[in-house]
Amino acid sequence: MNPFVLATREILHRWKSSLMVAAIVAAVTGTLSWFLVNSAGFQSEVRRNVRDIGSNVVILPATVNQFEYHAAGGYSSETMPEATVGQLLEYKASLNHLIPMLERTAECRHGNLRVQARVVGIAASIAMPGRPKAPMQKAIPEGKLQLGSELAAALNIGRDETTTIEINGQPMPVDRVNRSNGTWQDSAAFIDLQSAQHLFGLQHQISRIEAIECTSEQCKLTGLTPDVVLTNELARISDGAALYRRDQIARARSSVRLLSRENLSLLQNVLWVLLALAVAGLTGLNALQRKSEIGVLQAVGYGHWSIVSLFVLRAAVLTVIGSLVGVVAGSFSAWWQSVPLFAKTGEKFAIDWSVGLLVGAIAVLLAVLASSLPAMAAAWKNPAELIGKDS
Amino acid sequence: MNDSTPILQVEQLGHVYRTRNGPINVFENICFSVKGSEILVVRGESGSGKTTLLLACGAMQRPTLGNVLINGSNLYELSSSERNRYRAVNIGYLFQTLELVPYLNLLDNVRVSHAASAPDAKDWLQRLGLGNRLWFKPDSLSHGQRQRAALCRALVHRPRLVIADEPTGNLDESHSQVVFQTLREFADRGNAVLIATHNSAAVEYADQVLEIENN
Repeated sequence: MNPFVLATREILHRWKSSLMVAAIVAAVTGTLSWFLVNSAGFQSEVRRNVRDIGSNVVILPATVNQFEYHAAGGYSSETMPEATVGQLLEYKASLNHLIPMLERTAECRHGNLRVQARVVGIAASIAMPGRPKAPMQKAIPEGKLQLGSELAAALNIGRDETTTIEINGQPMPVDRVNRSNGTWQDSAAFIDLQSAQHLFGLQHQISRIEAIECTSEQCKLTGLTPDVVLTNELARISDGAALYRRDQIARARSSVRLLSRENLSLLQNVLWVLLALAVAGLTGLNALQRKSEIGVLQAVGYGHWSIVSLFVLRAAVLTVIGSLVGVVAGSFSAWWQSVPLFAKTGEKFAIDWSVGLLVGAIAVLLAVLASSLPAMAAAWKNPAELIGKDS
Repeated sequence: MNDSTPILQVEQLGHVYRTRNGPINVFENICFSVKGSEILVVRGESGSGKTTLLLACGAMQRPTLGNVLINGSNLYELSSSERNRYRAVNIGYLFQTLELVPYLNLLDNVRVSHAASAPDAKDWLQRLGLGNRLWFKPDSLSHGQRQRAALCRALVHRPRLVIADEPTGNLDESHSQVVFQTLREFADRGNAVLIATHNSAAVEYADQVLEIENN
């Protein structure tokens, strides 16, 4: 009678305890799979929220006077070549989500109402090559205009109104009125960068580049602080631009990411240990509790490896069944909860089945090891030392 | 092999159990041999070492001193794997505690023995009055029925030596007779049988009786 038949008979005979082992394995692998799959969604949501905190690096023309720039509420009429963006990309600076902008103060007219407002030409955010990211800033349709809520109110334009305003005498249809965000942007008008360059006669010129720093790799490599890394890089790339770092935003972004990463990592480790204890404990205990049976099988002619394989097969079969149920249930549960849990990224949440595969494979490996070691230790003893010695 | 060559030969056998409270000398200097067609009955008080002696003869417990030879092969000079194979082919063992596999029915419990075929297993079970219990698991049978099934398992692969530890414990007189009669018939086919028992009826079927005293 081969070990597989014996293992199957044993599982069916002790179906309650077998079911319990499979159920416990399903519970721990399910919890771990849920957590790991959910963690990926959680980190994606954290990244999105952190990104939405906004840019923390501003690159301005080197000629900008800092005092005047800040005194004017973060505005300067100085420009620099748009090619600076290409240089940053070519050099692979420690930045991402580069947003080139051209700003000017211009007259905005709607009917009889006229106001001087900041007009911002803005391009879609550009991802650094090798660091592909979803765009942080989407492109504004060419020739269309987006108005800040306060500017729209000053020009007497309602939220859903379809109308056209003139900027420096050039008519531009209003695409939408933005929601208030409590910053200078509420009083500004936004058009695409090329339209702005054409409107203001500043071909291939920009006022500034906003970006998010990605300095952690270089900081680790060089031991320098983020501001020094960025300043050094920009000095090598261009002498026509200067870089300013919003340190508070950078720190907030970094600490949120670190905190979430470390907490997830800690919980993951706890769950891995629980998985190891549960699977190894259950399958190892089974071999320890059946010493007498090992002795009898030896006595009637089963070889050492046949006996070990009997215990390994039982552990593997129950763990495969338990893991399969656990991983599928845990992964689907994470997917099902993704929309209510992750407001910004939940809709795009996808189950990463490789996580479940890893959890299942490790559970089976643990079961095989935990069952084979005590079975091997017993199978090489004399039958007399085992018979009647169930613990 | 003719009947004058011993199937089982025990030389200067002794065994000491090492316990926390010091060594226990179970028995020492035991010598005997059992030839084909012979039954040797071992008698002695509880704790005199009958079971240990049988386990040593059955290749299941290495004795502290002495040799056990079966068909001239010294069992404890074989490697663990070789001894397993040797035991499986040449020895049938009936444990005092029976040790049937709880998740197998009676037929499979007998078939589980090395190289036992299903027809042979069925034949032995029918011969010992268990033909109508082939598909029953051990926990649904009486002790006597389990004991007879364990005896079938010890005999089914036609070993040269059968060792039976208290084969009639808890059996009534008529079933005890069946068991001893079966072992006698088995021995008469040229095989050797070693029995440890308190049952005085065993002496009637024995060719030799070995009394061991409590050390």
